[in-house]
Amino acid sequence: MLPSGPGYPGAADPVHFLAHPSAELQAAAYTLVMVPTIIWLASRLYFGRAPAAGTSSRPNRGGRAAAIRWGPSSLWAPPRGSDSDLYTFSATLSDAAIMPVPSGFFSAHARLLELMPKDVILTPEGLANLKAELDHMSTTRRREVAAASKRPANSAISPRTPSTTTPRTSRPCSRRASPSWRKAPVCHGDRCLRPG
Amino acid sequence: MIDASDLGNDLVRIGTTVHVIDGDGKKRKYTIVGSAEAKPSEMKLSNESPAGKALIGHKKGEQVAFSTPKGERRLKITKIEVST
Repeated sequence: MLPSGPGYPGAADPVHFLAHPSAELQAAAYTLVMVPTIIWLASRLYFGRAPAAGTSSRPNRGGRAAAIRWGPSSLWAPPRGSDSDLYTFSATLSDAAIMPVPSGFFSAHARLLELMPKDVILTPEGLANLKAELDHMSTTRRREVAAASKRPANSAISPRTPSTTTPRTSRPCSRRASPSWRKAPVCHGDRCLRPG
Repeated sequence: MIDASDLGNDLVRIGTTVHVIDGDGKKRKYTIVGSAEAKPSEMKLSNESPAGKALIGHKKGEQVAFSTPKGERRLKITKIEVST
C-alpha cells in the first residue's frame, strides 16, 4: 500500500517522497512516459514503411534479412565511410527470401489509400467533352477497331506479290532452303537461281 | 457535382474565368479548370498550377504573386466571370 493523501509529507521529506511516490505521481509519470510511447508505436505501426526486400538502397550483406528501418532516418542512416551494419537492425533468424520485411499492420491500408485515385475536378464543359469522347469511343471508334481487327494481320507485313510468293511456293529442288526465304534460291523446274 | 453558377463570382474558383493584367500591362483572360482538362494554349489553367493556385480564393482588384521558372510574376485581377 503506497502512502497517499493530503497528509503525505512529500515536500518535507523528499527522500521518502521519491522512494515511495504517491499514486498521483505514479499516474503522472505513467502518463508522461507511456502515452507518448504508445502514440509513437501506433504511428509507426500505421505509417511504418520498411523497404521491400531487394529494393534497399544499400547492399544486403551476407545473406541477412533486409534491413528493418524504423524510426527517423537519423537513427539508422550511417555516417559516410562507416560500417552500415552497425547502424542497421538486421534480422538474423531467417533469410529475407522467407521472412518479408515487417512494415506495419496498417501499412497495406495506407498504401491502398495512396493508390486510390484522387477526386477528379471537372468543369461542366470538361464533363460534357469527356462524355462525348466516351460516346464516340463506344460507338464509332469501337466499330472501326472491330473492323480493323478482322483483317488479316500479316497482309501489311508481307504483301502477296510475285517477288515474295515465288520463293516460298516454288521449291521443287532438293537443296536446303536458306533460313531466310529472301535468300532462298528461286527454282524453275531443274534450274535454280540464287538471288543476288 | 457543384454548379459553379450557384457560387457567385466574387471569388476566383475552379470554373471561373479571370481577367487579369500582368506586370507588363498586358490584359489576359484565364479560365481555372481541373488538372484533367488544363490547356495552357487555350488559356485554361489548372487549379494545381502556380498561377491557378495563386489566383484561387482572391477577389476582383486584388494582386497576386507567384514564382515561375522565369522569376516572380504578378497579376492583378480585374474581372471574374462564371463560365456557363
